[in-house]
Amino acid sequence: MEYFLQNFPQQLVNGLETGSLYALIALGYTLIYGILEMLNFAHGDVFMVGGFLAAGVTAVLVHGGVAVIPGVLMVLVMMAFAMGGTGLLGVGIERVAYRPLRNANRLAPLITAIGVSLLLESVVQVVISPAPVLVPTNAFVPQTVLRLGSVETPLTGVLLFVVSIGLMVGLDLFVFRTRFGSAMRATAQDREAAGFMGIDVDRVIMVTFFIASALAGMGGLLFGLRYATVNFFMGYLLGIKAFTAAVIGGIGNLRGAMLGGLLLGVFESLAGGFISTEFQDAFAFLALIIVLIIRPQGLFGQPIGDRA
Amino acid sequence: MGKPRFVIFAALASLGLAACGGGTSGGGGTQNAPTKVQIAAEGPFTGDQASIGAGALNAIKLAVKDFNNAGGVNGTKVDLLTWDDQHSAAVAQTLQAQGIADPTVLGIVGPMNSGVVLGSVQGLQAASPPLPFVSESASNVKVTDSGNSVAHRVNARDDAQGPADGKFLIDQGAKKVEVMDAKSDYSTALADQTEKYLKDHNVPTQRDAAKAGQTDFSTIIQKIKSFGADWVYFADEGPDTAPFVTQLKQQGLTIGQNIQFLGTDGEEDPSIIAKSQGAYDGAYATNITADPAGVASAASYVTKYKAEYGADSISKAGPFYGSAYEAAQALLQAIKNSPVKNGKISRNDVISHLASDTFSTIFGSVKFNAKGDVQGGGIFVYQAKGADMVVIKQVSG
Amino acid sequence: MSVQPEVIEEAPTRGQRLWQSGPAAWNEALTRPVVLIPFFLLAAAMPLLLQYLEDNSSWIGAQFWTTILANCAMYACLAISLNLVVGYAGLLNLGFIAFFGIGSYTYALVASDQLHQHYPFWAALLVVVLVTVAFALLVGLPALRLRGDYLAIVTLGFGLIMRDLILDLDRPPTLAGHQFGPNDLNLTGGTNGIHQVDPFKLPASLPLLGSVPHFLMYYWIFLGFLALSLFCMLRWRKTRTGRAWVAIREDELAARAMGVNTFKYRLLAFTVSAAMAGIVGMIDAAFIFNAFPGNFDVQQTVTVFIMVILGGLGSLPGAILGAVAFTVPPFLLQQFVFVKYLIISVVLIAVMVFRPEGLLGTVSIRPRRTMGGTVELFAEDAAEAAAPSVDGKVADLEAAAGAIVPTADPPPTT
Repeated sequence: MEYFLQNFPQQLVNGLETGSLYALIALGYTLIYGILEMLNFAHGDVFMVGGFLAAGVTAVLVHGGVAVIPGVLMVLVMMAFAMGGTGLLGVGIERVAYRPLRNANRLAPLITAIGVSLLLESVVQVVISPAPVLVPTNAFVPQTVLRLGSVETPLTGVLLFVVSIGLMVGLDLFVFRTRFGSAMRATAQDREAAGFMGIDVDRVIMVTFFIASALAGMGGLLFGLRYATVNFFMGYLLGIKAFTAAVIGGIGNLRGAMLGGLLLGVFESLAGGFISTEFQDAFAFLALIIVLIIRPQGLFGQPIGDRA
Repeated sequence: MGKPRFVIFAALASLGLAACGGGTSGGGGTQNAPTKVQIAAEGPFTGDQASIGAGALNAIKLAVKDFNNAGGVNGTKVDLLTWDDQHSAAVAQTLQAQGIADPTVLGIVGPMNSGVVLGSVQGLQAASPPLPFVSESASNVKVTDSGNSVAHRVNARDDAQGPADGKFLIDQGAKKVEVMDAKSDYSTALADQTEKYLKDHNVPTQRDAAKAGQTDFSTIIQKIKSFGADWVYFADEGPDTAPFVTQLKQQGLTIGQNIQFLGTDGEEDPSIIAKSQGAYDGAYATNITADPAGVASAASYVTKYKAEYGADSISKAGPFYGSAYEAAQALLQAIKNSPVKNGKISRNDVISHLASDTFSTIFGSVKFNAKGDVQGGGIFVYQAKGADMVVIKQVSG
Repeated sequence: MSVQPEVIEEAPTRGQRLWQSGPAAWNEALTRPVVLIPFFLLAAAMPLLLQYLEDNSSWIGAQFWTTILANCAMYACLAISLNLVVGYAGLLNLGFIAFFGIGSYTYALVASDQLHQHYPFWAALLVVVLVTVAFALLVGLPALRLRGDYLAIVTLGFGLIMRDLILDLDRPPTLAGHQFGPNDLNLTGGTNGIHQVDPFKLPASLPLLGSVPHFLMYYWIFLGFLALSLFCMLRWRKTRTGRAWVAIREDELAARAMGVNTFKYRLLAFTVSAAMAGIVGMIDAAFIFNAFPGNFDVQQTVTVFIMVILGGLGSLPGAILGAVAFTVPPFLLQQFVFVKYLIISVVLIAVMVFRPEGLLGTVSIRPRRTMGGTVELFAEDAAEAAAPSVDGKVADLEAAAGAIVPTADPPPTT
């Protein structure tokens, strides 16, 4: 019990950090699922590409001696590249691999998604590196460790958490408060009817892919800042975990994905910290199975269209 | 560049062969060129273990190229087959079937993973003639302890490395050790050996595992802090080390100050210092094979490797690009030393030459013992100092 | 089609007619005994042909290619059993390969020195079937109450848990500081797997053929099991059970309305498919003398899925075609080591984009409805639970009726 009390706050913070990353990626799964009813298997790899874009931009800027520019500006440049790059990548993937299959059976796009995932991993492995690649964060991000009582976490960890939450709130506002957001929700509810109402469904889907992929790219960037390395395989497990989070929260539900991500992160961290790190993943998936058996629609399961 | 000369040499060799009538020559006819010589490089060149396989494959390609440029086997160039087993013994068995049936496939450099070796050695041994292999990285004791004449390796064994690592920790005054593995066939068995040695010597340990693909270590690091470990021992092939030590520092454990770190193969890679942005400085690592960058006799090899694959290629080469070249050298020399009869080399002869000969490699001369282990194969202890990993000690095995 | 009377067209030959009549007819034609029996005889004779070629030319590769054929036959067995659960019953089982792994590990445990057990073949087979069925029920009973992508993620989770357990149970599990079991407990062999598994006790030589090498024997065993599964599947689809599966796949709600106990039939498909995969796992363990944690890789499930869908969902000849089309290229492309998956993934995407129903596909299971995903999910899923509106269901039915069979083809059969 004493052990538990001593370690609980730190493990909670650890869990919130990982959880916010899960949440950020889970949002993409849930957005795309909500609009297109498809499991975008390649989403985890889009996250990975985001990490590599961030690493590439930093390496170029740092090596090019531009390290004198302030850190904040640097991060903004990284953001532009990582989010813009992955956003366009997502739009490209949708155009080439998913759009032609929009009216095919639902397993066909799943297979092309797996193909895209395989392709992105192969390209990064062959063209860039099979080994982990450094993100030289030391050059521009203060390596401060923040302390609060017994809890310690690096500044970049807090950044990861805060930016993720900020983006989620922003997305929520966008979807529920703007005109385009209501077009998205209408498309999610009934694509055909939305088309009749004069909504350009193709454009909505394109923008959805852009947003979802850019969020994943941002996840990759924040990941790079926090952990300082990226590797070609990192999207695989994180992608599955994030999708799990989306399902726990109730897939198709934005706020559910956020909470599902945070919950999964915390649960995992506590299970690892207090039960066993070896069985950590097993517990995470066990939690998923239990949640789904008790509440098949997920914890906050309601279609995104239902609440407007 | 040197090509025309080889053509002439090969032509002369084949003339010699024709003059001999192909039948009369006994063993060791040096003018006697084999018609075809193939070896295979086997390892996980793609998939989850690609970070150790890809560099090894490059090294083997280079070794074959160098060997051929130096004249090959009496003028015959060696062809290299690429067998990407993707860390699966089932795939390995299928690929090996290609070599088992083809008598001109004379040996394998690899397989790299112990699990793959143990899962496929039966078929290699049962082939007629048996198909020998020289592994550059399979460290499980059973690889050479099962009495198979085909099994050879240039790296040290788990039961040499584990106790050596344990002893090193105790010599350094370790009080409480966090023992970690990466849930791979290499790291788990090694961590078990080291943990057993520490427990036998009454050093308390805590055991955790970092799963393949794990990127966040904060949960484990909190457990380390809570346990009050003064040493972390991480059995790993390298890919997880930089993110791990970076996070160690971020969570307030600085190597050399309030924590000490001992890593294993692949963790003697100096690029970890850069990739962890200095957090690795002061860490120790042991390796079952020498790192070419730290061995004078291998300096020209490192230069060649960079020339072939690019200046930054060493940082992507993984832990076994040295031992892979060494293993290929041993196998190729054994083949070269084997007698050519009617334009053919028998795998039985290659096996007996692997057993009896001494090979000169980038790491000095190498000889296999009766089991197939390298005699005097040492454990090397490195320490991260500045931007380099420096050999501070060699424990002979 | 406007008929031009003045142009005298030659009557199309039988072959031309078949070519024009589309995949449904091809499947029908390909599953006739006149095609299947010669196919299997030819497939069985193939290694002998290869051996003859090797003996009489400078070409070497009979063993290599026979082993690849054995792999093809094994994956074809797996593809057919996955086809049962996905193509027939429409269940997205992403933990499929775990049952293959469970089969191989169960056999390895009762036929190796791991637990010092060496059961005879039939006893081992019985244990393998019982254990895989038990696991299938354990997952299936709760999970099959879910639908669609939720079932997918639960089964995916199950597969990942099984893989973790296999990796970790080479020592007594320690949870929250408590060790469960004695110190020397080693069930699964951990990361190395279980080695030196007994092969089946088979005669070393056969009449007429003389001594038969191990790889050839197991190729024939896989081929035999493939023929048996194919036979059962073809028989089955004409029974009440088979028709119930197709009905569920085409429209579960309608099937239920017609009085089909959908849960029972889904569970049956799930369990039978699992048991088949388990048996294939058992043969594989005896074939390669080992059981490996890699048998549980999600990547393997993905591979078999790709085979089924590439070949054409619901099509038995397609499953075999898909297995061959996806097993052989990685071996052919060995020399292009780093780019081979690049090539394969591009081809895969291209095939799916230009022929989404798969090479021999006839079925388009659960065609896209006009409704958004979750709405549709709930409309069917929680039929008993709270309240999707009645017109939601009607819309579903209409969409289903309108979209399933766009052509005049009879409902897909194979």
